[in-house]
Amino acid sequence: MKDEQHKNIDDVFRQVIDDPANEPEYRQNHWDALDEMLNGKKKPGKMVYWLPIIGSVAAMILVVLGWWYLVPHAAQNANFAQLVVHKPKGTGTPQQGSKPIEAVKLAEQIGTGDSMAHAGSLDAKKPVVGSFMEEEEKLKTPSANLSAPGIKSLRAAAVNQDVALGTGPMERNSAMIALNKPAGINLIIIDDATHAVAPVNIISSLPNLVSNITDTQKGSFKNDESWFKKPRLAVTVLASADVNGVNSFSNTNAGKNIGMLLSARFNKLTISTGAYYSFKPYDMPFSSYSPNSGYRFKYSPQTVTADCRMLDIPLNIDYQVFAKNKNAITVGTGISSFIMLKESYQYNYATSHVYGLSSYNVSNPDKYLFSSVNFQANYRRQINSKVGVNIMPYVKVPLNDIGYSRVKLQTVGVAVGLNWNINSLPKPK
Amino acid sequence: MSDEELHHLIQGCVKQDSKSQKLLYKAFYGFSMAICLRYATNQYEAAEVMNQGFYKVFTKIEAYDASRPFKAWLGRIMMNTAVDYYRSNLKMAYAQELDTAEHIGEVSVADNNLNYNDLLTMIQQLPQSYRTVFNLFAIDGYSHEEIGEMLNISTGTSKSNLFKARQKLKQMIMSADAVAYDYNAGTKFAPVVAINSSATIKPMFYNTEIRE
Repeated sequence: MKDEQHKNIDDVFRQVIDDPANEPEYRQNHWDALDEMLNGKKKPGKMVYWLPIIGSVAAMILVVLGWWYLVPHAAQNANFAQLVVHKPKGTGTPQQGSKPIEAVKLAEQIGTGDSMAHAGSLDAKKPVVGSFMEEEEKLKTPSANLSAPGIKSLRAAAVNQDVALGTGPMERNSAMIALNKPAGINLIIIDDATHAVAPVNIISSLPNLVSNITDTQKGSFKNDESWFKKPRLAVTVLASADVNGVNSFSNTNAGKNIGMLLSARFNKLTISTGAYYSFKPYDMPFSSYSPNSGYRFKYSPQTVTADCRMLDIPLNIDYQVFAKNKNAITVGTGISSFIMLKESYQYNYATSHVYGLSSYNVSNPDKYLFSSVNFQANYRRQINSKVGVNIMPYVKVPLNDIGYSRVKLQTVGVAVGLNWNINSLPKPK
Repeated sequence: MSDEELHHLIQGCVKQDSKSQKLLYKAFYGFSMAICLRYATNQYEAAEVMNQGFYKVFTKIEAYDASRPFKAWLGRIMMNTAVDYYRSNLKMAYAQELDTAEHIGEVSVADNNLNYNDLLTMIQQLPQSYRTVFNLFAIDGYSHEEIGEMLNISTGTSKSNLFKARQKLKQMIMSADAVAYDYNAGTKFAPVVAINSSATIKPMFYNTEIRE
């Protein structure tokens, strides 16, 4: 056997390595570490550490997506504006007999919002309707009651636009218009002779309707900021260069990051999260190097150079302080968690005539939740409705010690990137 | 420690008695640490692996069959924990296979006076895949078939890694011998571990000035 012919090299090692006389001596600090594990202060294993991070990221994504899907629908319900038009007596329409009944059925969807604007002279002080029966009664009463806030979100069913608008002249003076929520617009035709109510969704006929409204009303419609109530989702790809320092910026090293953020913008507020892959080298004096380890250096190194690769998972909130034309500036803050991917340390001795550990590669890098506070400013310039350019200076202030070496790592840098609006809305005309 | 004392300690551990756990830990610390040290890259990791192994022991002590030697059971847990600890890294290193074992015959080493720390450091300097196979085969006595099964690699890969491990160890031993010879001739600084700039592996302990 070839193995047997050359087992002497194996024997050299086996005889010495396996010799009980060479077994290392007991060290109390190792037991202390295990005792902590056994008492539940610290559990071994790798997956356990990932679970809260994965859970947090998943929860954030769910919150953002949930908001995206739910809020626009709710907003749409609330955004139904209303136009009540009185038809003069004698201008009957085919709906006269049927519309009151239809309107009553539709009253189930009546909301109780308070954002309706009253442009007419009708009574706007009616109490909010609480029940179906009350609403039914009110719908059957003269049109003044229809101006009560409770009916502002009345939805129309299938609409015959031509019929709904009628052919007779509109009495603009008695019309009540609430156009501050243009996501849906109800036109309620009230026949003064029969008090029949005909709610009509005329979102598709908006241009025709607007032509019949005063210029002032059109102007208020155009300038309405509620167009932007729906959160705008954007994906931003960023690359950044930064400098890192332990405890201070007196001794810094340059790092670089690349990452992707998902953001949801609600008017002036933007919430964003994502992940950066960060390359963070940093130097520290040996006095700052304080790993939770029982290893004792025979000769203390002068400095320690760290080389860390990590995932930076931020959760930021930004406020828009300036927006003009295609330019916008936001300032914000947030919090970052770090997942170490690779972590190695180089020990630098004052003199080369020293025999000691030269480097250490951490085989199981740890995770550090909510370990730094972020402060950032962001200048964004939209290139078109979909794409924009970002320049973002930022500072990361440590909350906790991170890394095997347990240091407070500060970072300041600038990121540049491109953002892409996922659900950009059409510009109001 | 007598069998009776050991049995008493194990019973205490079954009851999660902290004092018994500590005494058992203390009694088998050297044995366990020695295993972990040769599977690990350094003392830090060895201690971490060992504590993970003891954690398994103390939390699954009910699974211990009292009719079998405790030390063998403990040793097996330590070895498995060490292999598991490095398993993710091992996968990346198993790229090359060696279907024939002819080249293994080229490895030979002269007699030397290297001590435990010297040899342990050499093993720790091996790449993880080589180190694991060398430990399992040369020290723990597993066959290539068993190693292949344990590490989910082919027998050829196991042989290849063993061959390369031996080659590297031989190179380190020869370098160490050469340095020791220079030391006798008046070299001022004599690192225990081989210092050979042409070596493909990076020594963990070195003297920069001499090295350059």
